[in-house]
Amino acid sequence: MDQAFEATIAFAIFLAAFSVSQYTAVAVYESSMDRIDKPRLEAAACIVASEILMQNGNSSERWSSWEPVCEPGCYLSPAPGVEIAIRATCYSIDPSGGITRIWIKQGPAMHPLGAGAQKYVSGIVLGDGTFVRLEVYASDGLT
Amino acid sequence: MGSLIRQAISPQTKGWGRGVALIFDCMVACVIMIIGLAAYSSLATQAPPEPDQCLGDYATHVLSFLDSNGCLARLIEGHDSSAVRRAIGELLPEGTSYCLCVYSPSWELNWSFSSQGFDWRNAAASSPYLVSCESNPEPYLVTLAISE
Repeated sequence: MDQAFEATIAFAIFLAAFSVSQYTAVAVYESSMDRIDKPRLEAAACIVASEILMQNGNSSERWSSWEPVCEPGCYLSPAPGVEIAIRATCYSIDPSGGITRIWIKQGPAMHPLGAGAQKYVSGIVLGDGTFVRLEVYASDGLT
Repeated sequence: MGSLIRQAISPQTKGWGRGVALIFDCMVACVIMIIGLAAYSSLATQAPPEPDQCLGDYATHVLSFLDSNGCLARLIEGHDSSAVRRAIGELLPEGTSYCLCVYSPSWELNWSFSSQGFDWRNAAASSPYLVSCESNPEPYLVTLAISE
């Protein structure tokens, strides 16, 4: 009876400690992986945004005819397996400071990319005085 | 060490078997490891997020756009904070907050306002932007900080 009780107590202690240690180890692992993935995804989003800005420049005609393509390979992104979502919004401003949204274009994969998605935001003032805000989201597709 | 601790803190366990004693030693080692890992994990997750530098560049572009037809100067000169709030709030990405600061040329703060939820700890600020007003011969220095 005593030995059975000892074994039960010991097993319960072991099970509790083992569970806690596993939980902690998984949390530490996920935290480490997040820190490793974040710069990679940020770099991919930055490369895609920079290339779109270079392609269209400050020409309002190019931006009007431009359509977002959400294939990372089209933008020379070196990160394989990265999902990309793009959203561009054009604004104009009147003399009183009122902001008007002219158009918005977004990639076909503008669904939520998960908590691990990294965002890169950039803006450019076009030649005709309008403003384009470009948002690029990058995710590894696992989250 | 675990055995010493066991004997010191729980003399009633002297009658327990060797297997239990070994498991108890392992438990002490596990507890030490868990405390270390938990402390590391807590420090790693409690660290505030680093400011996103692209938001600082974006803030500079926003100021440049607002200044493109003199709107920023008029809004600052008129202290029309509601108009500035509307304009900046429309241009910023979703989920971001901002703080606009207007300084004199000698870096004395003239006025500023922040949107709800703005946090300096993870904010990225624009470069100081010079804004000239007709009524004031000296230009203002304007900074826009954005936080997520």
